[in-house]
Order: sequence, then C-alpha cells, then structure tokens
Amino acid sequence: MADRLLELESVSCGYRGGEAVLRDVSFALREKRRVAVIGPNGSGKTTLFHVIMGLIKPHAGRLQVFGRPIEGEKDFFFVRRQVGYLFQNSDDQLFCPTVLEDVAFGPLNLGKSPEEARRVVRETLSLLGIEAFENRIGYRLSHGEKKLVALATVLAMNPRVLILDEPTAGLDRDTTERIVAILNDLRLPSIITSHDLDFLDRVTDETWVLRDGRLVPAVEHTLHAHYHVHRAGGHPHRHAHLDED
Amino acid sequence: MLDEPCAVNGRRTFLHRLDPRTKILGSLAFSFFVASIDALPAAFTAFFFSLFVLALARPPLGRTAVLLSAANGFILFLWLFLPFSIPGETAFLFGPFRPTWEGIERAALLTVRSNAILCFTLAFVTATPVAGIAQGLRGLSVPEKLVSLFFFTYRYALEIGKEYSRILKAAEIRCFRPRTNMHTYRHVAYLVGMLLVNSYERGLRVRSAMVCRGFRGRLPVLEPAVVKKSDVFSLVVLAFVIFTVGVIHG
Repeated sequence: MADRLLELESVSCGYRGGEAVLRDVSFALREKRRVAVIGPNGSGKTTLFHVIMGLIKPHAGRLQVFGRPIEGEKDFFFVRRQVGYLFQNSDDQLFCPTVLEDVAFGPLNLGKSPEEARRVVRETLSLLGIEAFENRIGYRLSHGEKKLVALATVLAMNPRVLILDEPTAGLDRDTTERIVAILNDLRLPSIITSHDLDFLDRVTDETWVLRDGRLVPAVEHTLHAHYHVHRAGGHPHRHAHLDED
Repeated sequence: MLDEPCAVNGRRTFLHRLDPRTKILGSLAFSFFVASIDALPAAFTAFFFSLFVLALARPPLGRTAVLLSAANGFILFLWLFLPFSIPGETAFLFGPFRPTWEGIERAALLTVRSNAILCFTLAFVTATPVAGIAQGLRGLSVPEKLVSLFFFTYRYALEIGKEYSRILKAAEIRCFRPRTNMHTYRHVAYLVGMLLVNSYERGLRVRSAMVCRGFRGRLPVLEPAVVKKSDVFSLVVLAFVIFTVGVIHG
C-alpha cells in the first residue's frame, strides 16, 4: 500500500531466556498520521522502536519501510535515513565534544560535505531556537538543553518519519511547550510514546496501546472522571465542556 | 586535559590553527630528538625552546603548573636514587651517602629532558582538540579502528568518571564510609562491578544511537585538514632548531 510509510507484520520479539516482549505485533504508520503509543513501563515500547530501527532482531515477522521490505543491514541503513529516532536518554544520543559536531555527525554520515553539514546544523539549531548552543560542550548542557540538542541531531538528517521515545520525560513546562510547538510545526508522520497523555493529545491524532506484548488501537474518547481542584469547588457547579455534550 | 579547557573554549593561537598532522609529526620528531640528547647544555636549549612553544599555545597557567608538578613528582624519585647509584667522583658527603657528580648530572639531564618533552606535548595537547588529534592520526594513515578507539577512549574516560562519582554519591548519601572491613570490600566490589556493567550497557546504547544516525564504522570529519604555509614554516623552524641544537652540542 502506497500510503503505508512503515509497516510491521506479525512481529514477535523477546530477550534471551526471557518472555516474549512483543507478540505478533502488526501495525502501520500511514502518510500524515501521528501516532501515540502508550503502555506501562517495561511493556516493550522501546523494544518496538529498536526493532523498527534494526537495533534488535525480531524472532518472527516482517518489516516494510516506504514499501521496501527490510531485511539486512543495508536495508536498515535505508530505514535510518528515512526515520529519525529520538532516544529516551539524551546522554546516549550525544557523544561529541561540541554541539556543532554532534548535530553535524548525521548529515556527514549521509555524505554531506562539511560546508553543507555546517549549514544544516545552523538551520536546524535556529529552527529549534538554540542557535547559541553551537559551540557549547555537549555534556555540560542541562537535561532540557540536551533534549533539544538530541532532537536537533535527529532533525538535521531531514527524516521523513519521526520516532520519539518519551521526548518530554523530566522536562519543565517551557521546554515541553517548545517541543510541542516544534512537533506541531513540522507535522511529520510520527510515532511518539509518553506517559504524559495531555502532551500526546496535543501532538498526535491516534493512540495505540501496548500491553502484554500486544499492540492494539485504543478506544478513543472514553468518558472518565478527574479529581480536580479550583476555588469554591465545594459549591454546586457545572463544567463548561460537559455542557457542550 | 580531559575536558579540553583551552582547545574548545575558542582560544585560537597560531598553534591552534596548525594542521593536526603537523603537530603530531612535530611532537614526535622533537620527542625522539630530545630523548637522544646526551649533554646538559643541549637539553637546556631544547627545554627553553619547548617553553617558548608552550607559551605560544597560551595554556591556563594554574592548570599547567598543576600538571607539570604532578609529572615532576615522578621525576623526584630519580633524584632519590640516581645520584647515589652511579659510580664516579664524590660530590659531597651527605651523612653516610656519597652522591657523585656523574649521578647528579644524569638526574639533571633526565629532569630537563623530560620537562622539555612534557612542555612540548602540553603545548600540542592544549592547542589541539581531541577530535583534531583523531583527524590528524587518520590523516597520517593510522588505521581507522585505532583512531576510533583513541577517540572513544578519551570520550568515555570522562563518562566512566561521571558514572563512578554517581555511584559513589549514591553510596555516600546512605552514609557509606570506606573502612578496612568486609562491608567496605564487598561494596567497593559492587561499585566496580556496577561501573563495568553500566559503562558497557551505555556503550551499547551510544553505539545504537550512532548507528541510527547513519554511522558505519567511520567517524566523519567536519574540518577537513589542509596543509598551509604556516605548517610548512613550522616544520622548517622545528627542523632548524633540532639540527642546530644537534650540531652545536654534538
């Protein structure tokens, strides 16, 4: 199917000696879709992403990216050109002495000349509003700054699909807002995990749940209750968004 | 110089701008030459020359002093033994010991020589970011695997250090104080074990992240090296100094 950017077919995967982490997972990312994947800790979200990027070999199943069946290392190099993967921990993603070198690493690997790579770095950093970071030393950045730089390293490769593994975990509100703005500006087809459902609601348009190794579409818009506080909450009152229904 | 205080902070002296290959070759040639010097005056000349080169790199004074004195701590041991163990004319009486002129000269020669090489190397390290050194090595046809090994060893020595202090802090906030007992030995062993496991796993994750960004075993280069007039000039000056010192002092 032409509009299937990324397709998993009955993928099963497990760690040595352990139980299966993914059981018969089938999933497709379509053009212009932004998908949230939710699930408890250890449910296999990261494993799923590693399978897509070719970092873990599944026991069974097939993977297609942009209509191309993905089998060997060569195919995965193709995947990695198309799919930008933001790691859960930015420290794993950044390894160069300076931000400039880190962001330039991907473009250079894709065969860009040093001048082009520098231009791409500058453009990407200014897209994220972090131009001033260019000559800073990677490991001296704060957690939020590292996350933005890690995102820059991914975006600098001009991916056609984004996979973001808990991009807002541990970030303050301002940095989260910045990431929301960037993602909504780019509108790239993406798969995003997070435990922050409000964040996911703002940057994705469908939700899948990963539980017990199975990936299923979530039933959307379930009526549910919240505990909440506000002034004079003890008095009888109505809530506007419920009145609309 | 783990955190490259001078190399990254944007100080750009004449030495910083030289091609890393020039600097590697120059340091190598100079070190071999100095190691072969056998007379004090020549050693002193070489030492003053490397002090001059070090000044060119404008290193931070305090840090340089610390590094130099640390290295000279080892040289101190030479002074404890050499003057008394080399046979020759007795210089003076020192209690029951009889230091000889030959021994003192030998110790002085070694000290001056070591410091000459040290200052020169320090100038080179100060003026070259590690990525530049890696690139220079590659330019000199050192195998890619060795270059990557060098680069990542440097990069992760720091990371392992950070991991170590993280684990140590975790132990300290629970009131761990090292003593001479089984409890300490066991937990220090845990610490070292965790350090190895964590560092290994982290290495794997970093590699994964690199592979995701198109890494295929070769570190790309952002600043391609070009041999400039200043490189040729520096090597000629260095060759001249080596030649002159070599000839004059035989």
